[in-house]
Amino acid sequence: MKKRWPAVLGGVGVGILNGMLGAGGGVLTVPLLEWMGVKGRRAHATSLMVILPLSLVSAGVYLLRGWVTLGEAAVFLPGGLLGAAAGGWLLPRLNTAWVKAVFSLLLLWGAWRMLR
Amino acid sequence: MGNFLSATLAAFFAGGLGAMGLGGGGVLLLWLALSGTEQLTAQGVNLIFFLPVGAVGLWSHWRNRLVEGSAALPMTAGGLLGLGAGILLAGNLPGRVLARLFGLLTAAIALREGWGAVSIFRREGFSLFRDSSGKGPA
Repeated sequence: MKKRWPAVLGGVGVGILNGMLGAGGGVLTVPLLEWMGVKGRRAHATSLMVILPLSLVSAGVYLLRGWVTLGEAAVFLPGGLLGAAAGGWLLPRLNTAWVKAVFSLLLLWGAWRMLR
Repeated sequence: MGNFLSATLAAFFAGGLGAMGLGGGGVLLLWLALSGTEQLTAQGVNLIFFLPVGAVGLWSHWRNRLVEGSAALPMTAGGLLGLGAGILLAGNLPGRVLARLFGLLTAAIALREGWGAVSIFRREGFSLFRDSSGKGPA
């Protein structure tokens, strides 16, 4: 595989984000994968393969250090899994541009609240 | 009870957006942070929340042969190296600084998704639903 070392370096950035903020790996992995020649849905799918093991290790460390408990997270899982099923059903039916647009505005509002 | 309902709703939207390939975790983390949860706890909840949702997504993509393991492997290896530094920073930076860094990351994701939306609108038009042939906007 060409571009192996840039991928490792990019991975370091993804790991720092994942460990430090508990989110956000995809914002780096997807463009990096696309730059490596992995396009579209393949980039999103492969991004999960990168982020999932990192999140597993991060979550383990967060639990071991007592920064979070399983009970605090468990309350969100039923709603999350139902939402994932709904999202999977909607994905082939909905123009995702609208979802992206609403999502983007929601995040901009959230970012403003976090930064002010 | 109201809190339980709003938590379930936030989780529902986060799961739905995650399944649609958007950063659903950002929504849950934002909801947690803005509702007063301590930043590190919010991040931990988000990480644990992502595991089952991400695993289902990965399994589905794997079955559809969309995952390129040879591209993922070097990034995952680098990621494991970076993880230690990230966790060290998380444990040592004040929650307020982590929250502001997350705010910057959220703004970056918002701009990327906003640009993605504009690109699709320009290419495919403004219809809300895809056409029945399945050839609508991706």
